[in-house]
Amino acid sequence: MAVLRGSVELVIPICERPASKSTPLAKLLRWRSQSRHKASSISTALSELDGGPDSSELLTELEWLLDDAVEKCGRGDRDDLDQERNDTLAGHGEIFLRASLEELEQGWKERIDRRRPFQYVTGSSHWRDLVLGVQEGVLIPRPETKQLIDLAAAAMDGNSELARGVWVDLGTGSGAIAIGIARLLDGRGSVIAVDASEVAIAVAEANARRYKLQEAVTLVKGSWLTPLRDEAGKLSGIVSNPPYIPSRNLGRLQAEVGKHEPICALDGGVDGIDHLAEICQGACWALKSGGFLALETDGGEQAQTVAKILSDKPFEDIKVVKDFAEMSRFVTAFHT
Amino acid sequence: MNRSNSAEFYSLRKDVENVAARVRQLLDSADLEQQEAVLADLENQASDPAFWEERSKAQKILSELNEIKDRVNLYKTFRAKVDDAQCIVELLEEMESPDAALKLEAAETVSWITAAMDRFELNKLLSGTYDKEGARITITAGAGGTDAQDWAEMLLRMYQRWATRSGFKSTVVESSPGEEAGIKSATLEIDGRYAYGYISGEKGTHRLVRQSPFNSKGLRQTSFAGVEVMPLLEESEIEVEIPEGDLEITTCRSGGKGGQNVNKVETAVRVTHIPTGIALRCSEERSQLQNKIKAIALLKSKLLVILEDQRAAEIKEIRGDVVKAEWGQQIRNYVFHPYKLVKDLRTNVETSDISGIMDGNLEPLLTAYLMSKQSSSSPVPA
Repeated sequence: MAVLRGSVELVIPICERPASKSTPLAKLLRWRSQSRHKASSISTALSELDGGPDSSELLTELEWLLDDAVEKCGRGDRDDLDQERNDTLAGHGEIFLRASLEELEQGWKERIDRRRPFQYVTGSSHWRDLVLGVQEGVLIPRPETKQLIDLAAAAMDGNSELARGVWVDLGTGSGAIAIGIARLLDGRGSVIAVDASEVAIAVAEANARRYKLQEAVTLVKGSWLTPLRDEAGKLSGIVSNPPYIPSRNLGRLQAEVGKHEPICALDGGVDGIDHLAEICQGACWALKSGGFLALETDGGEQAQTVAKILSDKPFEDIKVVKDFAEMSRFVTAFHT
Repeated sequence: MNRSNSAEFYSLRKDVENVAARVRQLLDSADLEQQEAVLADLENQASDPAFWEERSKAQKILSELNEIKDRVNLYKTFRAKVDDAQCIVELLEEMESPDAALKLEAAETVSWITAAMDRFELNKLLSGTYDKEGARITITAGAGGTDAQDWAEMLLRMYQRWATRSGFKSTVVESSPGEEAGIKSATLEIDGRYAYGYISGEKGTHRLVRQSPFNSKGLRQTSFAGVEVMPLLEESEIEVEIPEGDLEITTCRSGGKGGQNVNKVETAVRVTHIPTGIALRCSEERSQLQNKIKAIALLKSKLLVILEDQRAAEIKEIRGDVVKAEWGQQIRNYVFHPYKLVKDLRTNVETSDISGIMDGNLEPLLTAYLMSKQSSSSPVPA
């Protein structure tokens, strides 16, 4: 199910579609049972192959898919109905769905056979406390990235002036970071979300609307800070999760990422730092004095490299911050 | 009446008298009138138009009201049923030839009252702070390889069946399948009043002895599974503050680069309370943040329960080493071969009906444990 925004077909997340399809309950449970079997048989094959999902992750995803698709029948009820199978099904008749059984079958088949990302199948990504619409052409927000919001919040705590200014999310993709920051600003400041991809702009705008932030978040199509020359020296903060994977690693990624997510959102060039370096360069003229910069990196050595780049530029209080897996993931700094 | 009829009749009359005495004793100590007065007062409060202005206070009053209402209704039912049974006995005494249907009705009424009173008295033993709540059971396969993982799954089924038999609703909120069979771990949430009170005694190690279907020679094998039980508490009940520095939060990234390189459902979060070493993993929500929030709430619940168990006043006083020792304690043996026996190591209650046990018929074991706990601690408040 899709809606046209400009020339982009916006996918409507399954959880937002009306429950206008239906199927006999017995058929749905049968499909669920078969799918569970198929997922269980995968065992560790995919995770050993390229770091893909194992059975328990797939089983969890299946339940989440059903949570999105099935109206009024939570997991506990589904388990009960499964156990009572022989006695009570005759009385239960049809069950309402937001996606038809055929769509679910097709979606799950694509998940397992083609390794299509789960979030593209459901059309949504649960990130932080948000449910964002995502589709092919947009990077699926990563759990690590939410720490960027926490880092921005800390910066605003240290200097409340920052919360009254203009913040920029470079490479907004689904708009996750832009929305996170806009909620922190809570009307005091505003956010500009930049992306070179038309699909990303449409998706991010729809997500901003979802959270009633269409006034607070302005979408701009373009490359990094190039379209923001007029804001030179005025920005309070720049936050970004730019493509940072070294080109040579792209071929080894798990299929969900390497074969389905947009390469332009992943490819960081030879050492993965091409875009990070460009952003650091642009931040020099774009940020006001005391303005905040926070970047997500590939971790470890790359983070150190970015910190080094900043140390040769007008920045102070340069920090490398670890993520929850103890990886040196983020670099933060303040413009002098 | 002829002789065998009179013997039967006198036996029935005795049963009715015993049950009547039991109910009378209950009603005397319960002070039904006072309870009804309290109920009337609460109902008055609830009908006030300003009642819902303070939501959490209103909910507390409502829940107290429902509890007392249920109890009062139960007392009245007991009294009414005893009256019925006594009426029937009087009738039967008058009759020339005793009516078989009436005798049956009286006998059934006596049975019902006896069972209901047993249950009622058992509930009175459940006077711990959290006994009234629902329960969250986590089963983890221990030593024994695939056999232990299958054992863990058997225990999961056992508790699911127990929940259904007891009229509770249960949901498997998380499970990790074993590589070949069974489960590595699973968490079951059981919704319903007193679920925690009944099932909290299940925590500990459960030992299985059987001819393992996973052993190529079909040899007899011993496997272990660990069971943990926590109450399901509402947000408002988890009134404990834990300084951020006392919590260690890690996400379960399977090593490797992470970030843009990975797209996996690895939203699991592990929270450790550093001072006591108590840790908890939560993977059932759809985002890391939600799992973090839930994990912290669950950890707080766990700490509250331990506070109660150890009769400590503050979290600072909790002895982490004691907790670990307790939760690793072997509490029950289940033997399938060469003989069939389930033995609870705390109460020494045993039964050879192992299939009944695995089918969820845990009452004899649970009741015995609850009573043994009761007799070893201070008297239950009325």
